[in-house]
Amino acid sequence: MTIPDYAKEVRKQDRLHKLGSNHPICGTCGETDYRCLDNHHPADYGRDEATAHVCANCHRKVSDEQKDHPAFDPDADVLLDRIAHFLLGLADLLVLAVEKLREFAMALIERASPDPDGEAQS
Amino acid sequence: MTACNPPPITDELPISLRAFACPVTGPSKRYVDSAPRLGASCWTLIFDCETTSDDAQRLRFGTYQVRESGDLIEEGIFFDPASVSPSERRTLRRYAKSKGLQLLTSDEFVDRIFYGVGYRLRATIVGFNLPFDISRIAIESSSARGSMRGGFSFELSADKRWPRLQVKHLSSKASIIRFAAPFKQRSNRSMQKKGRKEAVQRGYFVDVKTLAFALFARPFSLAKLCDFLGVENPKKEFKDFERSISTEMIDYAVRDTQATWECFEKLSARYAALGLNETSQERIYSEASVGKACLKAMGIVPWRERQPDFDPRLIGTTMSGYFGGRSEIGIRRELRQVMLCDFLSMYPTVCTLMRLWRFVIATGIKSRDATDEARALLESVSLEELQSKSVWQNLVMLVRAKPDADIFPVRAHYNHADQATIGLNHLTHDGSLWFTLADCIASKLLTGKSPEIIQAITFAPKRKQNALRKIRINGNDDYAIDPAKDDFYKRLIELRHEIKSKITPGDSPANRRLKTEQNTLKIWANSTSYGIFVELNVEDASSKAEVLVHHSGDEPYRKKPSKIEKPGTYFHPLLATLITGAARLMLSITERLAVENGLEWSFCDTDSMALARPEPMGQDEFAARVQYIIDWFSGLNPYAFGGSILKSESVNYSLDDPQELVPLYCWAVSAKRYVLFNLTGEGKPVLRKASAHGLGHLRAPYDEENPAPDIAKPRDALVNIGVELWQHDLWVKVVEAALAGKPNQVNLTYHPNLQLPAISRYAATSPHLLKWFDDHNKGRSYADRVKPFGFLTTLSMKRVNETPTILENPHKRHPSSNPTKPVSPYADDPEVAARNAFDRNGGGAIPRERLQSYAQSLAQYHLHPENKFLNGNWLDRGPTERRHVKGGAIQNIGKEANEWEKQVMLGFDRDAQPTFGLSPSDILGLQQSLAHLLPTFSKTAMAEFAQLTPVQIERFLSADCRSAFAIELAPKMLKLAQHFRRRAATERSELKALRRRVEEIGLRPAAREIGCDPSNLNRRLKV
Repeated sequence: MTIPDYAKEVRKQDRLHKLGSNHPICGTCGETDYRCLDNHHPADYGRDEATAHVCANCHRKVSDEQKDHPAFDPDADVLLDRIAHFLLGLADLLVLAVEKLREFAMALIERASPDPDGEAQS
Repeated sequence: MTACNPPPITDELPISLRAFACPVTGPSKRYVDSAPRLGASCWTLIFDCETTSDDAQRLRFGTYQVRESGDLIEEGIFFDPASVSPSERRTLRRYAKSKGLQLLTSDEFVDRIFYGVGYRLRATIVGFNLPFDISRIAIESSSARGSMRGGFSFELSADKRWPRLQVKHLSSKASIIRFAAPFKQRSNRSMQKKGRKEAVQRGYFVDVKTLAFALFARPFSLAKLCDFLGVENPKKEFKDFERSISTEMIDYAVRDTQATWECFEKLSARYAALGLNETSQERIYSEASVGKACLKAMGIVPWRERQPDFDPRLIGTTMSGYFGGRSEIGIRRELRQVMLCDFLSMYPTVCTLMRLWRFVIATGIKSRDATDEARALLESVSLEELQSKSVWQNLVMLVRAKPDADIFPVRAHYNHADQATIGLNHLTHDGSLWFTLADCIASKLLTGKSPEIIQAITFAPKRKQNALRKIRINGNDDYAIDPAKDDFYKRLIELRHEIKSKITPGDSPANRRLKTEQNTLKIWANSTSYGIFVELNVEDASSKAEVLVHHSGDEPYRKKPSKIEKPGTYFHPLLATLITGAARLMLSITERLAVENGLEWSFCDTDSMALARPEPMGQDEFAARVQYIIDWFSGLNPYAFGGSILKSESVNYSLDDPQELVPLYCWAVSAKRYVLFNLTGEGKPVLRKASAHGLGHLRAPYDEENPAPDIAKPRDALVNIGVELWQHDLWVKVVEAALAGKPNQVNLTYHPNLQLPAISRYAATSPHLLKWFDDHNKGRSYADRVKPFGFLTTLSMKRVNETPTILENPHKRHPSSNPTKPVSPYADDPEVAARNAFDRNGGGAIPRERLQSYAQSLAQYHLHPENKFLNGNWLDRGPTERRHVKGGAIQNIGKEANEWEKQVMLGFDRDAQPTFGLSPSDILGLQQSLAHLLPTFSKTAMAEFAQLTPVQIERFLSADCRSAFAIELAPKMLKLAQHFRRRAATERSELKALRRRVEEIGLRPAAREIGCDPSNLNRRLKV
């Protein structure tokens, strides 16, 4: 077979298949390299199957936040509990996204400001 | 045909009505959309096989391409080492080296490319007629199981890592192709603990033949498709397949794969332009698939999902009022001048007039009694009022009527035909039956009398669904359709008209884009306005399956059927029933207008009618009256553009000048079997339109390269006329015989090839068909067998040719003899096929002289009877007359056109149609009817006729009408009752005639006349 890096291509397609997308992207920081993208369970694994694509770094961050979510309560209403934890997980993702947005905004402001010679930086 | 006082009853027949059968075990499994399926990767594998031309059609070699995002990454050749000689191998090697191609064995291709790329890299696997190619690279096949039952399971590789491939034939244009589950644990331990399974990777298969048919609604060969799409590298011509593999042959094969790729690219772009992003192209199997994808793209949830608990009895009622489009002959085998008129997009138009789109986007439907309204409307409606669009909005009604010589669609086995057909006939019935209100109005128009309405139900849509989405053609906002605000059908037709009006002569890029856009709209309109609403998929039932049959009567009943029906995704029988009813009303209005204007009609076919000029009427008067009828329908135009919804077809005008009306003539034989032509100054026919009905199953005995010497070339393109050359020539001869005043005698000696055995080509598309070749295949390796999807050739027996069976003991039961059905392994040459023909029912060889030639097969083509009407028998000519049917027992049936393609090719198959028998109340009636016949005919005589025992007859007569035994035996008993009722009627009329004779000439002379003893005659007459 003359397909360059066939083994790598196989790994790539397997990974995309696991991610469930041919064009995955981190929902918080915009990372598109499939090699470092994960399926994150916002409501926590075992509580709900819904997943979101996040890169490894962001995954670490939001997973850490999840450790502080309220613990599993066997007497809780299953559906309400699941929705609530999903919302918490979504909030964690949005917090990261908001951080990123601020970073982008500040970078843009910096770019837009004139250089010491009086011209806008491009 | 006249529509005045009804004739006396001409037939007493059981009638067939559609029914709706649900599984007894619970509500039908609801269609549940599975989680979004991951689309194919950016890889594409295209491949094609070249085979031997013997009956095995085994693989010789093939070619392939591997592309990533359209870029060619690898190109190669693969070959079967066992069928390629050393010198051919050298040829292949030299060629591959010179062109920089890979050279693999077929096993290597399967493991490294087919699975390595097609499976592991989730490529789209592309071919032309993929099932055939897949079966060539397989190493073994068997019958598929589970949901793919009826299809094949192929083993492609000895490597057990790779899953098998399943292929199930849907039609001659489409098959479902998918990978089976791999032979390993699919889920990891964690998933297993949770009771979950990883989804099976089914693969992504696109058969270019299938996609082309779905997008353009016509079949293509690869060569014709290349031409149609204007690809850069079309298929080459090559004929020397019998010889050794040569450079030219490999060139041809390599080009085939390239041509397939280019066609795929263009078709993919066309499909992408439809904007149906929710449905990937590998799920497109037909125009109906496009329709469903369209509705899905608009976010429309199917009715059956939104309203799963809708009363199935009401579905049964609705289905009983469902009949297909009208296709009839009004004047048979008589040369008449006509003008062909055609309704603009009939089904979308009636959908718009009745505002049926509201139902498609509704969360459900509600019904209420509307008996008084229906009666009032029927009583007051007149022909003039039907020009008002508002009247049509009130036609969303089903009506239970008591037919009393009213004209309704009647589905019956006319003239003892094997197949039931639908004809608009007078109907009288002791009970009441369901029809659309449109059908009742049509009856009133044609008889002058309103049918008696016992009950009527009207329907209204519930509130609109949420989350409906706009769609845009080609992503163009100017061509957006908002399903929530627009009437989808109206908008489609208007947009299409708007786009068509912008097309100018010439082939500019702008014109090409406009033509693509208007073609998109045409596809959407055709695919969403009818077929998907009546889609029912038939499967063989398991032995334990039991259904609850909901029918026209009151109480459903249980039955164990041999076939079950599964509703399609957008199944909505109310819409399908209303649409066809309204279309029939349109044709009935046209018929009534024709009569009022002193015209006749030669034929009608779903959305068109050929209006015929009566003899004394002048040309100008005829044209003026047809124009009057056309103009009458202007008031019913629901669209933003003006004009009538009834159009004069282009065949009414000269081939040389599309503005000039010229006399058009019609010769109609039976439903869908007619020809339209002009006459030259010398009185020679120039065909404008002809039907291939009843001819399409035959392989062309000759073509343009070997034409009939004495028949002029067609003036118009054959694709416009609608037939192949040999079919055109047959019709020319039919017309010439008619013009010569000898319409019964058609000369079939005009081409020597008509004396060859008549052959048809089909493919071994199911394990059942492949079984015919069990004897042939015994002891052969897979490669040498007749394989799945391999072509086979069917032939016909001469009619008076069956070997008589001598019954040694006529009183004993004997198995019914199966007619001889000749079949042969694939051969395009009729003589070769004839040499290898054997009986697929018995296995024995068949002598050549017992096979029917083309001439013999076609000998009675021009006489084919129109059974549904009177004056429609073989040699009858002139206007047909409606029958007056006294409807008897009701046979509840399922999908009529099940496996129609296979039946056209292989002959009528009574078992293909799902049947649900008679209802208990009809069985009770049948028992009484049979009991009434018993004094006249013995149980033994009845048993002998029905091939039952007297005990079974006795048991049936005393059985509970709801019992499984009675329901099972009822259809046979019905035939028995019909037969003996006819006999009783015949005997009564003979006795009556005898009594008259005796009165005329006396007992003894009468007895002498008929050769019997006077005392016996006297005794008989006293009975």
